[in-house]
Parts: sequence; C-alpha cells; structure tokens
Amino acid sequence: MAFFSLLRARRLLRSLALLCLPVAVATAQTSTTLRGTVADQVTGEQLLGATVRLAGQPSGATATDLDGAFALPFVGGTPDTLVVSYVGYRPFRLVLQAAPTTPVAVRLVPTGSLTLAQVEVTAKRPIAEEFIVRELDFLSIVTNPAAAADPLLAVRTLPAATTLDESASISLRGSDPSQTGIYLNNVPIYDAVKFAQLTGIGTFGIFSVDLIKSVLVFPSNPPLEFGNAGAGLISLSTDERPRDKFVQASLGLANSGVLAGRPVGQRGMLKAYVNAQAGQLLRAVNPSSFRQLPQFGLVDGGVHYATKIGEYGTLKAFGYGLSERYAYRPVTGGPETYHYRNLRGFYTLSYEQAWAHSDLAVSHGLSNRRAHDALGNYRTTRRSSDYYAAIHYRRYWTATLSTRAGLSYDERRLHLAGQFPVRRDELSATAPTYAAAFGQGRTLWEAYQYTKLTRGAWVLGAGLRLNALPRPAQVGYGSAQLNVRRNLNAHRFLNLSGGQYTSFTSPDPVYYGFLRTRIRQVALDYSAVSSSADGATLTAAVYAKQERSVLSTNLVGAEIFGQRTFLNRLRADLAAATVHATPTRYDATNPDARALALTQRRYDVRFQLKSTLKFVSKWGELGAFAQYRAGAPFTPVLGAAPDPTNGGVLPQYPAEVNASYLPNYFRTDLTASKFIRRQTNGNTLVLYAVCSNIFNTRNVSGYAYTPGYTQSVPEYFQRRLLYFGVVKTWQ
Amino acid sequence: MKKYLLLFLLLAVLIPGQLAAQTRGQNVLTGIQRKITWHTPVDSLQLMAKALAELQTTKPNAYLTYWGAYTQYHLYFRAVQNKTEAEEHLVKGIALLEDAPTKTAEHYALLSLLQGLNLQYASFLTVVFKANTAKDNAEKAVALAPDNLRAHYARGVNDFHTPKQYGGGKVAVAHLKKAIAAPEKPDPNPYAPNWGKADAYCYLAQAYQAAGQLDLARKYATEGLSKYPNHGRLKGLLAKM
Repeated sequence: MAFFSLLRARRLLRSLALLCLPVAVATAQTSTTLRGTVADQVTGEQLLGATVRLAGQPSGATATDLDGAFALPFVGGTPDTLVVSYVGYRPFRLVLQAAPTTPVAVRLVPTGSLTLAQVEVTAKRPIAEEFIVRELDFLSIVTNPAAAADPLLAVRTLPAATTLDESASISLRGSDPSQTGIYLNNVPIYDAVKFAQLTGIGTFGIFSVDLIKSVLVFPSNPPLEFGNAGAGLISLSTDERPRDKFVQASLGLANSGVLAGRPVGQRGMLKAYVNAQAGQLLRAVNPSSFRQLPQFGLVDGGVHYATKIGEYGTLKAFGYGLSERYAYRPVTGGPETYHYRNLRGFYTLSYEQAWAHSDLAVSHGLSNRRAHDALGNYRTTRRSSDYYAAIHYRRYWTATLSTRAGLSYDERRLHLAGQFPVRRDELSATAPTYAAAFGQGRTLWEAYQYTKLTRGAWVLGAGLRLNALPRPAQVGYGSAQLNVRRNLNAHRFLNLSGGQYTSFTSPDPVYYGFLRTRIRQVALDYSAVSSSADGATLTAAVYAKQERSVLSTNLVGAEIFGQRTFLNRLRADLAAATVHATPTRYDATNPDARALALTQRRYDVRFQLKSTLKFVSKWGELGAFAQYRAGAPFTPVLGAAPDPTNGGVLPQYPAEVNASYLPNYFRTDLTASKFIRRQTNGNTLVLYAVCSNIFNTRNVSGYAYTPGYTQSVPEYFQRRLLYFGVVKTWQ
Repeated sequence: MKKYLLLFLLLAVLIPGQLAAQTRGQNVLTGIQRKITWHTPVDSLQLMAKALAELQTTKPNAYLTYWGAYTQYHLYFRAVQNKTEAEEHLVKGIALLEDAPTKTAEHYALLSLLQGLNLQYASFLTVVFKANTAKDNAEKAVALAPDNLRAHYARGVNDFHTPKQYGGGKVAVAHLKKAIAAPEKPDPNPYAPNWGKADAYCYLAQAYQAAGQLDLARKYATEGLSKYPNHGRLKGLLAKM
C-alpha cells in the first residue's frame, strides 16, 4: 500500500514538473511586437478597425487604429501566419518565415461579393434601381386617400403623373399613357386597366393591392432591362413573403369580395381573391353621378403563388380573370345606347435565382382578351393576345461594377371585326352597314446590356437595347441610355439621365397598326429625404423630350414635391408641376395622320397642383386629396360640311389641332377609416367611407355634338360620389 | 525668416490639436464595450455618441456605425419616460444602421432590436409591416451568423414580443437557448461587441414564465444570475418569482 502511495506521489511530481516546463521555457522566451499598417488596395485609404491576429491565436487579436496601424504582441521566436480581416474585404494571410524587422504593409482587396442577405435583396431589384425616382410600398398605396387602394391610382397622385383624365392609364411627364410601360414581376401588362364606375367613365387598375409589395416608378428614361417602354415605366412586384393563414371579406357599395391566403409547404404562400361590383347599389346612393351609365358591373379574380426555391431562388406565378360590362347613354340624347363587354385573362410566371456574384431571372406571360361593343348599327368584336418571354443574367464583376444582359421575345396580335355604318354619322339600328375586319400585330426580339459602376459618391450606368432579329417587316432599331447619379450625402442625390428609346404601340388599330415611336429625353432629378422623425422629403425635376412618330411633338417640364409629418399625426404633401408641349406636327397631306391627331391628346399642362393630407387620431384616420390644374387642350368642332361621298355631314375642325383649352380642373376627395383590432385573437375590422369630388365640381372632360354638329354639349368627369364599406380579416 | 517662423508657429498650434483629436477618436473605440453598460450615466453616453459621430464623419467605419447605434439603443432606455426623446434615439440608431453600406450579422441583430422597440410609436396601419421588417432583419442576422449570440437574441426577443395570433411565441425559447450557448465574442476584434448573454438569460426566463413553466424560468434566471450577479433585471425577475 505504501509502495503504491509512493508511486502515485512520484507520478504527481513528474506531472507537475512537466506542466511547469513550458512556463519556464515561455518565461525564458522574449516578447516581440509585430507592427504594420492596413489600407484599401484600390483607394489607399487607411482602414480603422481591421482585425489583426496570428493564425491559431484568435484571443490575441488586435485592431488597427485611425492611421490603419497595428501593434500585435506575440511571444516566441517566429510567428506562424499573420491574418488580417475586415468587413467587405478579402481576408489577408501572410506566412511569416521570421519575425519581420520592419512594419508590414497590408493592402486589403475589396471582396466584390455581397453578404448573403444582400444577395437575396439585390437579386430582386432592377440594375438601374439607383435611378428610380419614386418607390411606393403597400402602405403608401392603402393610406393614399386618392388611390382607393389601387397601385396605379397611387402613381397618379405623384407630381410626375400628367394624366389628363380620371383613369388609371398613367401618363408620365407629358407622354401618352400608351408609352408608359407597366410590368408585373418583369412581365409587361398591356392595357392594365379595367372599367369601374367609381370615376364616372374612368378605369381602375387590375392589380389587387393585397398582392403588391412595391411599385417602382421611373417617370423618365425607363430602364433598358425592361422592354418596350418609350417614356416612363411602372414596375410592380408581388409579395412573396409567407404569413399565417387568413381570410378577408369586404363588403361595400363600390366593391365586395373575398381574399384568402395560406402557407403552402414550408416556404410557399398562396393567395386568391374574387371581387364583384354591382352597379345598382352605387347608382341607388349616387343617382346623379350615373345618369349616363344605366348599367355596369364586373367580376374579377386572381390567384398568386410564390415560393422560395433553394436558398436564394424565388418563383412567382399569378393568374387573373375579368368579366365586365357597361352601358353608356351619350349626353347628346338619342335613342341609342353604347354597350361594352370585356372578357380578359392572363398569367405571369417568373423565377429569380441569386448567387454570390450573379443572378438569373426568367419571366413569361400570356394574355388573351375579347371585347364587344355596339352602338346602334355599329358593332365590333376585338380579340387580342400578347405573349412575352425573357431571360436576364447579371454579373457582379466587383462590388462596384455589374452588368445585366438579356434577351426578350414580345409578341402582340390584335384582330378587329364588325359592322360599320355606311354613313359615319348615321348610327340608328336600321341604317345600312358594311362588314370589315382588320388584323394588326408585331413581334419583337430584343437584346440588351446595361452596365453600372459605382465610384465613391458617383453611380454611372449605360446601356443599349437592340432589335435582335431584324426582318423586312421589323427593321433594325435601337435604344440607348446613360444615367449619372451623384450622392450628395446619405439622404440627397442628383440624377441626370438621358437616352433615346424606340417603342411600338397601337393607338388605333383601324387606321394604324403598331406605330414606331422614337423618344429622346433628358431629365435631371433631385431628391432629399430627411433622416429625422418627420420624414421630410423634397424632390424636384426638370426634363425635356422629343417624340417622333406619325405625330411629333417636343416637351419641356418641371416639377417639385414636398412631404412632411407634423406632430406625428398629420402627414402632408404638396406637388407642383408644369409641362409645355409644342403643337402636334404631322404630314398635312396624310388624312389618316390628321384623323389620328384629332383623337390624340396633347399634354400641355400649364400648371398642376396636387396635395394629400393624412391625419391619424385615436378615432381613426382622415385623408384628403386635392388637385387643381389647367384645362387640357382639345380641338373644338367649328361647324359641319356636307360629305359628298355618302350624303352625310362632316365636322369641320380648325387647322391646328389641340389648340383650344378646356376649363381648369379642380377636384377634392375625402376618406375616413377606422381600424379595429381585437386583442384576443388578432382579427381586424376596417370601416371606411369615401366621398370623391366633394364640391361636386363640374369638370369638363370634352364636348359631344348633336348629329348635325349644330350644338355642343359638355361632358363631365365624375361628379360627387359617396361610397362606404367594411373589411373584416380573420387570422 | 519671419515667414518660416510663422509657419512653425502655425504648425505648433495645429499639430497638437490634430493629434489630440485623433487620440480622442482613438480613445472612444478603445474598450468601448466596457464603457457602455446598463450602469453608464446618460451624460457619458451622450458624450460617447457625439465622439462616435464626429469620428464617423472623418473615418466611416462599420464598428463606429455599430457603436453609434448601440449608444442610441442605451440612450433610448434612459429616456423611456420621455416618449419624444426616446423615439428620437431609436430613429437615429435605425438610420445609422440602415445607411451602413455593409452590414454584418451584428448590424442586422441590433437593427432588429431597435426596430422592434420602435414599433410602439408606429401607427396602427404601419405596425404590421414594420414588425415584419424587424423580424426579417433578425432572420438575416441568424442566416449570416448561425452561431452569433446577439443574432439569436434579437430573433428570440422579436418572437417573444410578437403576439401569438401573429405567429409569435413559437421560436423564442429555441433562439434564446442558442444565444446563451453561443460564445460572447465570436469576432476577435477588440472593437467587436460581446454584450447580450445576461439579457438573453433574462428573456429566456421570461419566455418560460410566460409559457407557465416556472421551474425552468427559475432555473435559467438563477443560472444567469450566478454568471452575471450584477444584472439588475435578472435580480428583479428572480425576486418576483
């Protein structure tokens, strides 16, 4: 027993001796300090806060000081490997053969790769995102008193919107709405409006706000990665974020419907909705506003599915269907009523995949439409179909240099057939007619590249979009763009953009096919957003445009917009804008060109003021929107002359079209809403009421004429209109 | 000769000032985590916020951004009785982090915490969407650094404060457990943060308490207090149990 005790004691002593040995050796070693500096390889700037350590000794790390200098003490003869790391740079490793006698100069290389979170976010953004002038999110749409929770109507309240009617067809900075590109998940949606009588003879957009995550508005110089937009662009993205299962029911005078959503699998979200509008209820409450509309109604619905695929892939699919009809009684009286019926369906499919240095997007869409209209002996059927497919690839060469390139196929077909009156002014049901059919179409293969470079406070972008497959029927054409952005600080920037764009639109399939329009434009935008709690915003812009087609015009314009929150309860904005458009020019020897000029608007808006107020209190929210602008140009009928070809009469117009002006336009809308949430289960209830055109202003939209053109009768935009409803959500 | 004398005098006046300013800047970051605690007085925090902001203008840096926002985070708790001032601190902190060109998991975690606190000042229309943003940022932090204490802490706190009907209360315990198991300072940089573990213990105990599991709540509160005996909230929590 004593022997074992002795053995244990000896072992213990030996172990203690072994443990003490390194300590003794270490104390015998000399302590040295490794010195050096760390700087950016590209700019030479000394980096503050870079981590400096020796491999295998993470606890002994140090950081660089204001001069980028470091002093790293180490113990022993020769350090192994020096490791320097810094956010946004590639780690630097230096194998040391001996302790350096002079300071080490380390130059770190910017990584060029993005963090994982940034990859995910960036992949869904257009490459020209720095040049976006305005972004609207879900909230700014639903709380906009003039938007009626419609994404496109919300755009109409921006200073850049120069729409001269009350519809959701958006004119941007003086260009015709047909030149404004509207994209949903990177797929163009042509004729993105449906008829709804809330605005008299106006229209609402077809996108349900409950599906939309963001709306990007490029009022000038549409990004070349999108397709055939000549003047401006509105890009809508649907919301792919999953949430818990919910059901929402809305019941109102203007609209009633059901929206439901539920997660599908681990990462997918399915939403579906159906809306219906019964005109009788709205008419009963507002009889004077619907004298010209004895009948109207619609049903539409959509299904949206989005899911994450892999770590950074997103798939979105959206299908939509619409059936609508209305009857319109002309203000000039007469027995005949205009009837319109429209059936429409489309779907879009898009997939985006991101990697650390690149991303890929594929999108596809198909749309079909059939519309019937009839007035007396005139009746037509219009069929149209659109097909679109595109692929985009973006490469981040470095953190500051990226290129996006892609190829798109865009096909549109229109077909119109019907019975037309022999004499244009004789529309009675028994008058003689002739049958005719027209077909129009275009097929565009386009390829583009856009490159963006960020250098300090400057962002430069340049791109080219070309007809990728010129053919005799579709000769070569191109679009080019240059953007320069200067960040004055984190909250203010200047953006100068210019370019030439080619688009193909169809203003009137009877007289023209798809017209080629060349638009040259330059715009200077300024934006400042305060970082303070009041969220003050100031934007301003000046621009010039030149449009060349069968009709030609030049435009110059300016706009300014300010927004601020007061006392955390009142948000107010004010926008002022002016656009001067030269008189429309066309080939005087071409009668079709003159006929087209008579139907097209001239966006000469001498002044335009818009203001929105939102007031939040414990009793609910109040909103108001007011717009006052100069009257739109129009062409009056001066008289009538006999038509020798068929014995009828022809209207006589002045030599210069769109040279007269309608009276000034003024409208004010009010909204009130109350949001109630039950604390026990989270269910919500929203009560709302809207009164548009509260002063019942008679805003003239144009003039109609009696059959002999002997008398003109003013047509008005929407008169005072009241509607209210309730939205209940269960979740 | 006079010219050189003047130049010398000018340099003699300017250089020490410049050096002093640099030293002040350097001093702000040295041992900064130790300087910002729940016991740091308001005036010290304000001076620190000012010094960090000054240094940020001349030498923009991810750590300066982080500590600038973290100082605002602490100032918020000192000013919580004054709603306007408290909100101002949150807004400043959020703006600092949102404007940072490169964000790490630490940035996203702190941003989520600030945004979560700021929800109390949001209007009823904005609260749901702002809450989603706070949650997204916490998830980004966890995705970027799955072993980061403060990333899990932020996600756990976000879930803890999310009402059940909005999907809250499901993952708080799991994330807070990961937080207390994670190393305090995964980044060896002396300017990197190491706070949060004591607070994570506190929230973990509260999460168990809210779920009615008082034994576990007491266990983690005791364990936390044994490791951080000066943590006021843990003391108070345990005393109430």
